[in-house]
Amino acid sequence: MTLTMIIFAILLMVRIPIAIVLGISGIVLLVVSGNSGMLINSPQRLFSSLESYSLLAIPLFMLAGEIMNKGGITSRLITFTQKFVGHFRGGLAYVNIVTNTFLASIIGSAAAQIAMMSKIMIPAMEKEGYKREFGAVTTAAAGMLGPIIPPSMLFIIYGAAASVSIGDMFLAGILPGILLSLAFILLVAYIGYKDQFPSKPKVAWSERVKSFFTIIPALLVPGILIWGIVTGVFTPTESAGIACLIALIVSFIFYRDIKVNDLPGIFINTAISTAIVTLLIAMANIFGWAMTFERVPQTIAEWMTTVTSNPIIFLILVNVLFLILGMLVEGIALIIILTPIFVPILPAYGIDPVHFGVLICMNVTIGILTPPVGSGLFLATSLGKVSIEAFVKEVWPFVVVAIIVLLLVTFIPQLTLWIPSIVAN
Amino acid sequence: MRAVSNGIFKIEKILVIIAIPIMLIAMVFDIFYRYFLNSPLIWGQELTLYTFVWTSFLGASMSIKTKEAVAVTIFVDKLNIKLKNLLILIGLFISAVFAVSILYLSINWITNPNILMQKSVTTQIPMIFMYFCIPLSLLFMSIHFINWFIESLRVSREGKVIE
Repeated sequence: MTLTMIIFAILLMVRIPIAIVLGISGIVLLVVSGNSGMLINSPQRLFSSLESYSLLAIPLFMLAGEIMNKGGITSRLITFTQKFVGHFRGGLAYVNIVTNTFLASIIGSAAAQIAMMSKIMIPAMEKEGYKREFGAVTTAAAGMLGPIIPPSMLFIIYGAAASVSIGDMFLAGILPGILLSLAFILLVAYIGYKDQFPSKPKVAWSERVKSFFTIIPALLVPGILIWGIVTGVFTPTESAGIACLIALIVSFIFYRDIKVNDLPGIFINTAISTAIVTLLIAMANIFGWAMTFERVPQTIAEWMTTVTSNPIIFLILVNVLFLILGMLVEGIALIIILTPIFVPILPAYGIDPVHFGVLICMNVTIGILTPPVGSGLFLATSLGKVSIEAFVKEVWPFVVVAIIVLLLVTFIPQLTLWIPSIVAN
Repeated sequence: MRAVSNGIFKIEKILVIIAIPIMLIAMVFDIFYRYFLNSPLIWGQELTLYTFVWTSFLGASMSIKTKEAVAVTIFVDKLNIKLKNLLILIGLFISAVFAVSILYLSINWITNPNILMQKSVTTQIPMIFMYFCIPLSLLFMSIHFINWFIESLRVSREGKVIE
């Protein structure tokens, strides 16, 4: 195992894609543990790791998001929130956060949201007199809401890996997501007051109502998702399919910004962005399977339980571990690799796997904002043409606020478990 | 090699442009028949599931071609051009060898006589049609990796930074 870990680290350093590194390490582990005879089964493992209806929700939600974005939902959401919160001091910063909150209920990935919003919000904020790096930081931080507010790719991946209901995960993410959004709004209010951000005149109610009507079709997506889960009529995967259908209808019939010619490109993008995730899952499956021959998960679990038997200390250690790893490694990969190791030890501490899942997903999402490796940091700085140093200088208040929300969610399990429990009754 | 890799990428694009609408339409039909007509389709779920698996593995090969697959770049970015190029070349070589080895394993696996006897649960379609995406996408992926390696070799000989 030690040899495999060394190989794993070296392969990562020579810029081999993480998925391939996992595959190679799995094969190496099989060979060194004397199970070369099992090698022939690895292609079968690759196949069966993706033969899952839960994972099918990943391309469907990505497709719905891509269609919605091309269909013009992003610009309409921005116009809508601008009419409601744009007049406050620091208006555009609120617009950014509130739009991202809505967008998060349609799209399940932080990277996708940051990519969509950076192109629009960072130049818009700069034009109104905000520092460019503040625009980039607000956009990247608000993008964190994507994987916390349902739907969420991370929750689907965790749910599939931990055998936890994805519907429960989605419901559990609602309150932490809203809390995080509110916390960012408070932070922006404080910064805005301190730095004397610009403010604008109020908008008439008639205009507000008009702009609300333009976003109603888009709100059908979260509506159908939550309704499907709460009533049990649709599985999350089926609601993802329906979300695509709604996205197509809304984009082609109501908004009409999209053209039929755009579809092939959307399909290709969806296939590639899905595969980036699913290849990781498939290869991690080989790695995880090879680890079970060496009893690695059991060994780590036994070691963990000797370190502490106190659930609170355990959760603090988990937070520290995932925050540090999240700074260094891509979050999806972390969730895929570590979920099968941690979930079996949860009963020993009496921790609900849904609560735990929301926690570790929040942890790795904070990691996208922090150097040295953060997809949100890279996206916002490159799309917003901001230097990484300037970004990092501005981002820390947002990271601190996110960690405070993370601690609240850690120590108040009701924040995650309350909504799933009322739905279950 | 470059022409082959580009040609394959075109084929991959066409395949996913066909597969994704099939996945979506089959899913919508499946839901419609089950909830509104109360007569579940036999083939709906299997068709969506296996077009998803096909799309995933084809997309995986495409993510190598477009160089979008997630990798840790922070370490090599800190080095000087020569050392950086050398390490990336080694990494690409290892990746290509891995892809070819798994391709070899998957050909051995899929040509096993047992595979021909396996049928899907509800529609009884031979599983080999679904399994075939594994060797095919690994073949495509191997070619993309080999092409990437050869191109990088050329770039590095010219003294430029490998992308």
